[in-house]
Amino acid sequence: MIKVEGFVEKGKVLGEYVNSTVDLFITGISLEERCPKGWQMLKEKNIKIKNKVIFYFKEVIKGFNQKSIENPQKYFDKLFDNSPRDCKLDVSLYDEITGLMELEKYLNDSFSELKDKKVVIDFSIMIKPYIFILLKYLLYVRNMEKIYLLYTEPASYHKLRLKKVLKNNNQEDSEYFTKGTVKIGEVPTYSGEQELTKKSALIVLLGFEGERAVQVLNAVSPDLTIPVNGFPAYRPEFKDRSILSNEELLKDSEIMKELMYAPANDPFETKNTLEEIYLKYYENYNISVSPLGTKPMAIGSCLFALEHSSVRIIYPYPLEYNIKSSKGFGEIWNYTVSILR
Amino acid sequence: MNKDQKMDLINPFASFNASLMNDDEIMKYWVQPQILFERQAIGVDLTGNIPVILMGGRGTGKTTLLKFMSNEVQVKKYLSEHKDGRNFFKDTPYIGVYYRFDGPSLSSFTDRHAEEVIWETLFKHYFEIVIGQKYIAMLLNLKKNKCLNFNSKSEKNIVYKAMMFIDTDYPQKEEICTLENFSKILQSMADKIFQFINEAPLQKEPEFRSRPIIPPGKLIFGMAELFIEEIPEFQRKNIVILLDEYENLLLQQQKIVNTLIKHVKQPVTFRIGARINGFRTYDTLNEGEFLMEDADYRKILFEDILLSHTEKYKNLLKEIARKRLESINMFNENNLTDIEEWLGNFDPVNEALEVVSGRKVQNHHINKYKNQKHIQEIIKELKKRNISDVEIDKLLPQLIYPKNTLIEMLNLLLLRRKYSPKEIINLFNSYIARKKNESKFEIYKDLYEKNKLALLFQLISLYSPKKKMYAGFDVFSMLTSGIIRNFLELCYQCFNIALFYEGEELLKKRRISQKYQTEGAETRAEKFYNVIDIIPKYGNNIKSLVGSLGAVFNACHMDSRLREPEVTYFCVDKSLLSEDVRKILNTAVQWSVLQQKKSMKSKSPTELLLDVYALNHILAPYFCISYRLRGRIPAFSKRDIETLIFGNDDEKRKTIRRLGRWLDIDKRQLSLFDLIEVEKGD
Repeated sequence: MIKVEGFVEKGKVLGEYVNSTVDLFITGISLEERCPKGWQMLKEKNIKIKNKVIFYFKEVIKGFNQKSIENPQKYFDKLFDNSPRDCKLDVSLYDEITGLMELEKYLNDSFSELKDKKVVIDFSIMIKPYIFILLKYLLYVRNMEKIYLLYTEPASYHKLRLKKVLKNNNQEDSEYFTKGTVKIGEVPTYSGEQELTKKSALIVLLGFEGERAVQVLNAVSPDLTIPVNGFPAYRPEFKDRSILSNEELLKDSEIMKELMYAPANDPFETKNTLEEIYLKYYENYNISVSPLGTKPMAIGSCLFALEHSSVRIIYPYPLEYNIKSSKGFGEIWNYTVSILR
Repeated sequence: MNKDQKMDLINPFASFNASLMNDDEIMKYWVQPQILFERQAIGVDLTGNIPVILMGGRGTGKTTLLKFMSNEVQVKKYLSEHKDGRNFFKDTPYIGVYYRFDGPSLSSFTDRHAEEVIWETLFKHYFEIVIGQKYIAMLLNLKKNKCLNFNSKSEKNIVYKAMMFIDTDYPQKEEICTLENFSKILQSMADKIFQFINEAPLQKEPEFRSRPIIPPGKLIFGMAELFIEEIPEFQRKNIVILLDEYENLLLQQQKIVNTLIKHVKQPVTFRIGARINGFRTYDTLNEGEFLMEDADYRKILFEDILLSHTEKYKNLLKEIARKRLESINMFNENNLTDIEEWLGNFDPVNEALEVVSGRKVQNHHINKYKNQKHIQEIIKELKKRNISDVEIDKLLPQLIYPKNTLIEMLNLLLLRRKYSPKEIINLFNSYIARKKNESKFEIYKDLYEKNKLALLFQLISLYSPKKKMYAGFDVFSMLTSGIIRNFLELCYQCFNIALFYEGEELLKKRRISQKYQTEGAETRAEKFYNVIDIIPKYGNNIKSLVGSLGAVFNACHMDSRLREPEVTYFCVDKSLLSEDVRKILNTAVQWSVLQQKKSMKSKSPTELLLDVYALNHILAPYFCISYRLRGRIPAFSKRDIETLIFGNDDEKRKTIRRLGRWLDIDKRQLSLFDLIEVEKGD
């Protein structure tokens, strides 16, 4: 049984590790402009990074090749000031388990003990199942007590796929978040421990891809569905956009009447909202959460599930992620997660 | 109207997914599908001994039926009709135990770190636990509602013996032999499984060490036998295990369940709800053994049965809608519960008149009328035969019939098919004069009746941007393709639009306009199309195929000579296709995007039977095509299908042109191709 706590700071403050060192910095590559921002901020603050692990996602490298950049490896090496001692993991975006195994190999070789080290993860561009399994591994297997998370907001997102967009022959690859579906599955290690006699409740953290929410709903067929919208959103119009995108889910008045809100950029508030729902329903329902909203909200659901082993996380694994789904960058947030055992 | 009534003006069709309905809602909206229950006469007994596989597309009503047969609904229904549950067992031939296979959970019973055999054992064990828990819940439900009165001795005996099935080493103290305690023991065994599933991905060689492991069938069949031994009411009753969403099971898991079906032991029997093609295998765990239809199970194919009884199917839809409408006070109190009255019925003649003039036309001055586009087409055809203008002016009044534009379109069609004006005028006159004893009358009547919908599509294409209407109860029932949820969705969409624009006025009008109905049908079609790509694994391929098919079928509708009217399906010899393409077609059928119809002979007698795939009619408004199965285009080759699925835009465009006989389609149709991404810069 663990208890997860934490607090949020804007990047400029950066709490405890200003004028300090970071033992391990973990991030990944993407074509999104916000990708290197967390790293650049640490550099600007003259924070010493002792070790660096970067997930070189194969699909991103391939995406770069298509855009005729001569050497994407070199491009990212330069972007992150990589030195030979930094660890670059060639992994697939779609295989978080192998990604984790590769990371484990590196950690076993580089650290005898990780528990008291200062680890910063920039998860701005990481896909959600990666974040979930990474946090579980570090907190449960490596027994870490504190982890620092960095998140750079996007300035905006590209337009979603709409029929009108399809009409336009100049459609770019950037006009979707995900494509297709591999499966609707439980995130590995987050299957929860369900009581077979209970009913089932599904909490959907709403995102911009409404069809995904309906997919999850159909796969789980819950007795109760509680949608949670990101509000306040990064930008005021995002709140309405996620409601409009989820019209298909919300047209059921039984679902609409349960609608709740949690801030789009505060994992701890999301966790509190989920906690509130949990307290109300856990006695009669097995709780499943589907993190389709922002990444900070997904972190909130991850922390919530880490605290409640009965909770399961359901994710619609897409066939394809858009490696350039956002434009520009906004605020940088620092989330400090502490575990009380 | 008082304030409360205003509050009540909500869409009666707002929720339609049976898997999200609770027992009360299932009861409230339940309509007995007589067509299915009548199958008993031919040996498919929904409550009898032989296992039955209920196969159908998403939304055909499988879940509603299975949930309705569950003990929870059985008891509630009985108590709502009787003063108490004392005679429940006398009046019921079976007790239903419902369980839905949860896809996300099942997919976690596999992980590369643990061996396959571990997962197989674990699933068998888990399934026994789950059904054991369901049995306990059933007994407690019957007891709580006083439908069953078993004493504590019977309870202890059942639990004691069931625990012995699991493990003879369990401490068998009498005081712990209660159903509640047994439930806790089963739960603790399930917890160990969940723990293993959660930890396995982080371990190198995970092993499931928890013991005991329940052997297959021990609880599923064993406990049911115990009920008969210990509780007299269970004698001569079937325990029907209702398993829903069988298609979610992984291959090996299906073999496990198939083995239980093959070796079912009375009083247990199974009803399996599965999508079409949801059975990945009919094999059991025993080598060389498989499930055989009729010997081991009977099968009901929902769409086939529903669609082969048109009138009964329409009555079923009307009843389903009536229950929805009755559930809302405002509709019920004002006797507005007949969906046919709300939607009206489709009249192609009226629609054709609307297309031409925007209103019903009674008298026309010939000089003005001949400017109409379809009359201009007639003139064009006559001119092609070198007929002089003077002669045309004489012929034209004999070829037009402003009361029914479709007749004029038929005359145009006959001209295009190289009939002489004189022949056409003779046929037409015989028909108009109703000379029923003349063969000309029958010929013309047959041509008209068979082709009037196809002629309407052609007419509309001449009057762009006018669009085909999709409205009327009969049309809606055809658009459903035998899928009840499609009907509820269509009703939901058009009520939504009508309520939004008209509010309370709608109740006075007692009719949803054809415009709103069409908008509703278009919205539903678009939503259906837009989510095709999220079908697991093959969604993008299926969407590509469907987009191309829509374009081909639409092109066929524009064929000026109507060589094959209302083409909405294609034929292919499946045995020639690659494994990948076959999987794509099977998945499309599983998700009801395509519907497989009875195989038909090729047009060449030496060729084999061809597989037939129809596009789900719900998509008709999206592609502006018909909702009927009529014309037949030449069989697609392996290469055609592959190109429509995997080809680049240029290859697709060429194939679509060829398959769609895109010979005389003018630029008006290009917009559709733009829409579905197959036409670029040509």
